[in-house]
Amino acid sequence: MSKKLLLIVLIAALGVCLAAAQSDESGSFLVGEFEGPTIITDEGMMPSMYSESPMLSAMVEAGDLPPVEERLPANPGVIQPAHEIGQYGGQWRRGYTGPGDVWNARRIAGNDNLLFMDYTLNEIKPWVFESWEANDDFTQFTFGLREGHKWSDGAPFTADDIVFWFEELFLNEEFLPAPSTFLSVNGEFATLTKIDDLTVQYSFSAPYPLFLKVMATPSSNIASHARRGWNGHGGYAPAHYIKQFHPDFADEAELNAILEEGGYSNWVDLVKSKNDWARNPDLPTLAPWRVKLAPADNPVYVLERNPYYFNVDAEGNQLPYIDSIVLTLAEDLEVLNLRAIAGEYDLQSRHIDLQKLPLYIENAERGDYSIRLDPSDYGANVLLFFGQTYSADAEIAGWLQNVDFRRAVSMGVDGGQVNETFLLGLGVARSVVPTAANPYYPGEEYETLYTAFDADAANQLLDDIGLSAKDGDGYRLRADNGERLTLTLTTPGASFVPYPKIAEMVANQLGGIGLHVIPEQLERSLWQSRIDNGEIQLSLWDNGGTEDVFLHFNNTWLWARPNYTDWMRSGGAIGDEPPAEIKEAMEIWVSGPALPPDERIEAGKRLWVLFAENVWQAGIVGSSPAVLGTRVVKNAMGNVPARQLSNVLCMTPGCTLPETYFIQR
Amino acid sequence: MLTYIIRRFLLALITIWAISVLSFAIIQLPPGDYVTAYIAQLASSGVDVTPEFAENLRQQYGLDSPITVQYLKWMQQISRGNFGRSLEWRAPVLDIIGDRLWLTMAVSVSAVIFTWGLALPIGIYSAVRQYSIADYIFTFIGFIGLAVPSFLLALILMYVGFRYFGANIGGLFSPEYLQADWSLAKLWDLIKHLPLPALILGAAGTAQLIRIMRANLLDELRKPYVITARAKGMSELRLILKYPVRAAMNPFISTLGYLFPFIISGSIIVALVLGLPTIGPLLLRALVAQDMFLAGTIVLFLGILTVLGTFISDILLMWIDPRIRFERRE
Repeated sequence: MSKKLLLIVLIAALGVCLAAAQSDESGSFLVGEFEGPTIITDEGMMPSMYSESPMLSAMVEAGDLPPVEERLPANPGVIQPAHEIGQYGGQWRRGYTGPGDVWNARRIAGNDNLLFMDYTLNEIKPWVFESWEANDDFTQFTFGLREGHKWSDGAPFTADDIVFWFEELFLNEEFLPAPSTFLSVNGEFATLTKIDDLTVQYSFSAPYPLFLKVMATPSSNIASHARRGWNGHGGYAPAHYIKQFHPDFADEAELNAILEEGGYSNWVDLVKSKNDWARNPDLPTLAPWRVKLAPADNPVYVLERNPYYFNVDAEGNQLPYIDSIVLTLAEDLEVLNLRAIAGEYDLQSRHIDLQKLPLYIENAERGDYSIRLDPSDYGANVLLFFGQTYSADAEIAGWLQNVDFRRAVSMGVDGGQVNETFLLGLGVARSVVPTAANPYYPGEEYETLYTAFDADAANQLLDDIGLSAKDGDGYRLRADNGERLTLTLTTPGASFVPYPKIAEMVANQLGGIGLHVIPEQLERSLWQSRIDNGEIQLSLWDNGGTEDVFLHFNNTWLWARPNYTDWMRSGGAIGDEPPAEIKEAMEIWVSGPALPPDERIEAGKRLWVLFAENVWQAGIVGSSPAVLGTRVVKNAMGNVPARQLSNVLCMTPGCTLPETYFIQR
Repeated sequence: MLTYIIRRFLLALITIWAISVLSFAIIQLPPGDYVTAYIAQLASSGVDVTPEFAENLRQQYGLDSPITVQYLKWMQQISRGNFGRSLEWRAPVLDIIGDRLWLTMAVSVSAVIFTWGLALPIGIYSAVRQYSIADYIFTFIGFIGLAVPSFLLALILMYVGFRYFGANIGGLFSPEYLQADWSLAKLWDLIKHLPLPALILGAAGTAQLIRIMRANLLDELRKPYVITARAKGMSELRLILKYPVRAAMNPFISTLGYLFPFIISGSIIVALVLGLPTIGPLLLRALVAQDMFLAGTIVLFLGILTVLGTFISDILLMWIDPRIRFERRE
């Protein structure tokens, strides 16, 4: 008997030791050092000789391509890779999930931003624009192009391509009924002047200090042709190619024939389809790779190197190193993950399921890969938001708009339990404000304000605001008719984070403070249209992209759609005027981009204080690698940073420069 | 006979037209449209979507015109052999369906061959040797095959294949042939990949068919004509195959019409799990994304296949079962 007992104790002790050892390790070896490539701007360090991929030299020898010196601009961009000078060649194998997943390619292979935000997101560097200058009051911005810069078909890239885009596409009301507000201040659009072939100037009617950052943020609609050309934005377009599809330039009969043959609904559809870098192999581009096989009618989606790409490494080797990117279609996420576990992908974080981490680690040696985790530095990977424009049930709408009710709900949710159960304990239970590294970080006290789990305080608060009456099952009663107060927690299926499962747990936790909450899972588009119509009571989502809160609309204001956001964006012309606190937050958000940098940072902090205090969104778990933060990296891949920002604004891994990655032989 | 066929043919045409209207209407039923679905998808993959976005897209795709106008436009295009452009893939619908149609046929035909090739002999055997040990074993395996969901079987086989045999995960081709043009080597590669999906897709069907065949044949075996034939000294094998089996086949042939659409729609989940580049997953995705021209075209094809299948099974039945043939002649 005592022997048996001893054995049990021993096994238990061993288990504890193992668990301790494991948790100790997971922090250290999976999250690496934050690092990235450097863009060299020092004149003295520029290479004088250029070389190219053997794939291209063969074409040059065959006479199909001019030599590398003629293909590069007079002053190419020079990049010091994260670790070493790479080797040319190879295929980068990845998985994608279907036609909607072309962002997979746009993120990794579409670095054609006008300006560049380096991997820390703190410094603006030259990219397509070689130089930039702002006047003292930030109303006039002058940009310089690289001399001899060429499109991927060899045609020159000049100021005309920017002017063409601005005048014939961006300002054409038929083509873009609702152009991006990033090119306007106080509702007035910028004017664009061509100074000479290599110089353009944007002028605004009021100061716009954030403009340079906007031009360096590839997610911002007007700064990257590869990322945003497909919806008519992008900041520039290949005029020599697009003109054949534009009614102001093309022959009418020919244009009608093209429309008819391709089944396009109108010329707008035609131009937007032709200007889609991710799908049109014929489209000239400035990005490091171009599409070779589009996803539609091919079993594989293939991108190949752009022979005219304008960046070289520190020794003058034209980038990218990797010749082609091959994405194979995985109809199902389980299949995609199983393939990654089998080592069939060279580098991928998109669609990699954090919850399968143990399986990934177990098979790492066999699959010849390693795992890297990139915790996010926006506030919440899982947050609960309160629909502020919900109105169908006046009693419920009243509670949702009651700040004490929201605070109580927030304190009634145990983020720690969600973290342990769904995010393997890799996150932190915290509010929606960004992490300490962020310039708009409002201070430590706001990280946990009304977020720390405290059932007693939550119960007290609910009792105090008039929800003290309960039924026989311990649920609180409505004030209007004395029936049970029942709330619906609506979640979308098929996201990177398992929201519907988390909703079950959250509903259960809220039962603990006497709130009857029914979780409801909706198909994603139905969920979206409920939000568009203001029909959501409670829902779960994240706030990715709010690292620079002034540059991201959707995840900042999801809870205020549609009436309040319409009001905000129309300057009060349509929609409903929100209550004072929301109005203050919205006014800050709208005026922020026009403030001088120091004042903008103060404004951003104030905005986050308002968010934390008013709890329109209750943070549950943040700082985890749950969204796009679990990377599977084949051991042969070089120059892949040990840790990167997981960030929409820099199109991660875009700002770590995939063109400097290479495959070791 | 001829008037019968002509009448059936005209009815088939009307049915197909009705299907096209229904399919177009059903796809429009869920709230929102392609743009809503698309925006939801973008938002959940970390793209900032602003309200302007939706406005620009609706205008681009002509989604603001009424549904009847959209339907008539589509019909007009179809009459010229153009099935429209897929909103989601941004390409002509026929280009997208293209290769997938043939691969779907390959997978389905091999699944049908597997099912019938296994189920019919076993069904006959278990009926003739009712309550023998082999009958019990087949029955047992059959019921297990019927009870195990095929997507689960697919997941398990795939994991076992990867874990112990180092096989590729899913798909119909090895990676090196994915980009290759069609050749004998690629065809051989396809043939090598077919047994697994055929086995998984066929497993449930096989069990079902075994049971039906067994029950039908048992009914027939007890009928007097069998005893008469046996009394006349006909060899047992010839007797069973020529008369009772033929009669027992009747329900198989008459359900042939449903086999075609089942091949596409019944295998969606398995095709998803196995990563098969077939029509099923395409249809599912098109429906979720409310990509109405792609979904509409596939549903229309499914309808045509069903009608065609029923037509063929009618004719086959007349050929295989003299009783039906003579009824018609009168």
